[in-house]
Amino acid sequence: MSKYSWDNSSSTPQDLRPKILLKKWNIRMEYFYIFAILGALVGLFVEDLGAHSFRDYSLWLIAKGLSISGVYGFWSLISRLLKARGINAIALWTILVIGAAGGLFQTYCLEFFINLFYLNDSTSLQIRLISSAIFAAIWLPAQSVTVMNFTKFRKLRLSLQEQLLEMEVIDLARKRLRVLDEEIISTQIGELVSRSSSTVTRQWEDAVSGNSKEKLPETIRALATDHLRVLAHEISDLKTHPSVGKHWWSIDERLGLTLFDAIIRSIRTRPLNPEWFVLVLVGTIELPLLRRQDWPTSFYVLLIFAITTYLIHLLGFWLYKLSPKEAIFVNLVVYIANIIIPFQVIKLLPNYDSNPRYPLAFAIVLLVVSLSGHLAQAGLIRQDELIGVEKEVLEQIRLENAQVNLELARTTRKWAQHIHGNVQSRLHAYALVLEQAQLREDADGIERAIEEIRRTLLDLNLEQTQLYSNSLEKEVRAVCDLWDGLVNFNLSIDPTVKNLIDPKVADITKSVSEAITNSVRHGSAENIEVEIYLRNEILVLKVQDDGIGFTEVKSGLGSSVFDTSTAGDWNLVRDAFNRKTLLTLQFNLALPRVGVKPALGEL
Amino acid sequence: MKLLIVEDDSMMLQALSSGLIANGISDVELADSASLAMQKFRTFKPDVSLIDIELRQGPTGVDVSHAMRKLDVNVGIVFLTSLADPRLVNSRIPELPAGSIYLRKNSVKNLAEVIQALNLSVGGQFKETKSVTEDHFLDLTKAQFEIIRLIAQGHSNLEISKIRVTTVKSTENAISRLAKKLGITNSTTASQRVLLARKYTELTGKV
Repeated sequence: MSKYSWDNSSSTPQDLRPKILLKKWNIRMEYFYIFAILGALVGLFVEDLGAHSFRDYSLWLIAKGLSISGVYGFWSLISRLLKARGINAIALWTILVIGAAGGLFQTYCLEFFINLFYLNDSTSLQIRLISSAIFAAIWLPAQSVTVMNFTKFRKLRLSLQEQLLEMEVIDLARKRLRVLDEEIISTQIGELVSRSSSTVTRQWEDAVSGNSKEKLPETIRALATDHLRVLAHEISDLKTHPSVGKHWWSIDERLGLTLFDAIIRSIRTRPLNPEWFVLVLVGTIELPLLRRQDWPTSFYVLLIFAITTYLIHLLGFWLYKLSPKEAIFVNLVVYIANIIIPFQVIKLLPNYDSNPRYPLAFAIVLLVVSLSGHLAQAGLIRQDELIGVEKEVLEQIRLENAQVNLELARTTRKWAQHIHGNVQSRLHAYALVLEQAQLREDADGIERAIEEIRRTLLDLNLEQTQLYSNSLEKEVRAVCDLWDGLVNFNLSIDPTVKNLIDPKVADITKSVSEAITNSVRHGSAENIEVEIYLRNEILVLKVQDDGIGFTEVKSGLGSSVFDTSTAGDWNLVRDAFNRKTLLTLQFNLALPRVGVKPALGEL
Repeated sequence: MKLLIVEDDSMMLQALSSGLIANGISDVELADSASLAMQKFRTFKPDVSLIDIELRQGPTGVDVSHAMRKLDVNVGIVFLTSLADPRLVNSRIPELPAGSIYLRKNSVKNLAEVIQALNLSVGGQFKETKSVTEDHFLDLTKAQFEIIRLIAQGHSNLEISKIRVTTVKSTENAISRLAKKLGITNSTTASQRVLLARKYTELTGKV
């Protein structure tokens, strides 16, 4: 697995800069020459030349050598360019052998034509030279493109896998970041501060004497910054973690592009293959020579050939839209028609020779050329798709990276705010307490203040919340007792929740206190009924009074207390006729809920 | 004159009662909480109540005074408190009862001033008027009282804005306006927050 870096600019798995590639290419030309000579010698023994002079042999050798060495040279160059290794190299060499065999087959076919029409040696040689050059021109680019596409496709696929993997890593990193964010605030910095608490406390005590913002313990800030660095480093490490490897398979499945799909798409979307035009051109040159027809006749025949081909392909394209299977069937029909129709036309010519091997050989050549063209196109289409996917993935990675960076920045800012805001404010408050205790020469007070300061420094995330350890009844009764005498209470608590100890007890008690304060101060109530019961695992608090009703609660502090405590699940109803005001609040307990939460109207 | 003293600081309560008894007010009852004050008020039926505004948690002295007035409209009310303004302890505190007298602990020079205030309030001579010293209260809004109290309690701007259901930006602006009103300017040597908190402790008489 490649080593990842946090830096976006170096996220590409392979360095493809021209400068680096030039160094690596090191093309070995000796193989090229050896293969060219061997190919020519093989050709010499296999083919029936029909040549009789040294000049003829020499010309043939040059032509064949150029043709075959061109094949090898081209592939060699491509293989070097693409740095083919392993399966890619095997594929390249297989195609090279098939190509060479195809080349020999073509030469054999041509030789056969030449013999068929009893051409003289000179014309034969000319035809060999021209045909070798033309077939090399047709075959090689098509096959090379195909090979190149397959190799490039493989590279693209690998590159995509790497990129998708990076996305997975980023996703994991983000999740980790969130977890770390929580962890750090609650524990890790606390531990770090704990280790240096004596230093911090001393610094703090020095700072308190001046009450200066600048003198606030820099150590805390330094520790926070250090920890953010640790966080970034940890995420960076995560990218190279072995467990991330398991995502490879899922990524591979997600690519979902098969060669078969690409070929089908090539057939369906390309009504006219360019190789047909090339064949028409070849035919225009070859047929007059072969058939010794005059040029206008040959031209008309070939025109019919071209038009028929084009029309059949157009029809095929229209039909292709039906379904991939139908498209394959139609394509086969088109190939057969392409072969049959022109040769039916040729039959009409005056010097027609009915040797059956001629159309067969030509048909095979046509078929091979067409198929190779289709493969090349399929490769191209597939490559285009992959490039498209790659672009999307790269864009997504860029966005993901930006998001992670944003999150890092947000965490940093949150830390800064937390330290600058909450911790600092709290420390300021304790500083005042300490100052007052010093003024009063209150040793216990000083000790308590220092203890609070130390506690704050040990747990920077410490909330200023009052801890309620008593049961619900005790807490609520204590609140009512404070107001006893100012108003008359009727307190009723469901026995099932009397001894409830739940984190929500604090909220419930706060709400009771707020409701009583509102009833007395703003409602001038004399009698208050407080009722608490459990309904479908939801705790319901009802506070009813006989006051004039309070209106301020909707926008005042009371409403925010109720909103926070109940997540907005409360309402206030004034019954003017009976001079009653009823406040109803519902609390979701930390216990698992059972049944459906009742609407307020049902209560 | 029957006097009920309501004060949560037991030392202060004892000192006041012994001082007043020594100065001729013999019929004195003491209460260190709101509920006890109301209980004693019902049984003792005082002519005048000397009440501290801050009574730990729950109801304030002002709440107690209103409850007393409900039971006896003629009872005299004298507040003796360290607060420069009762709204410092709770911005939503009700208005002082009509005719009540407001004395600040740190401006009272001797017990004679307290006795004079008690005598004035007996019989509710001032009950139709506003509180005697109300005009000298701070010129701050409810929101500003709340903010200065929250700052002194050590809440951050974010926490304050959450409590007050506003934005952090408006809290910051409100703090700036508050500081300006109290004559606190930005300083390079001391934090505005600290100065505000200190001001609060001064106004509440804690320093």
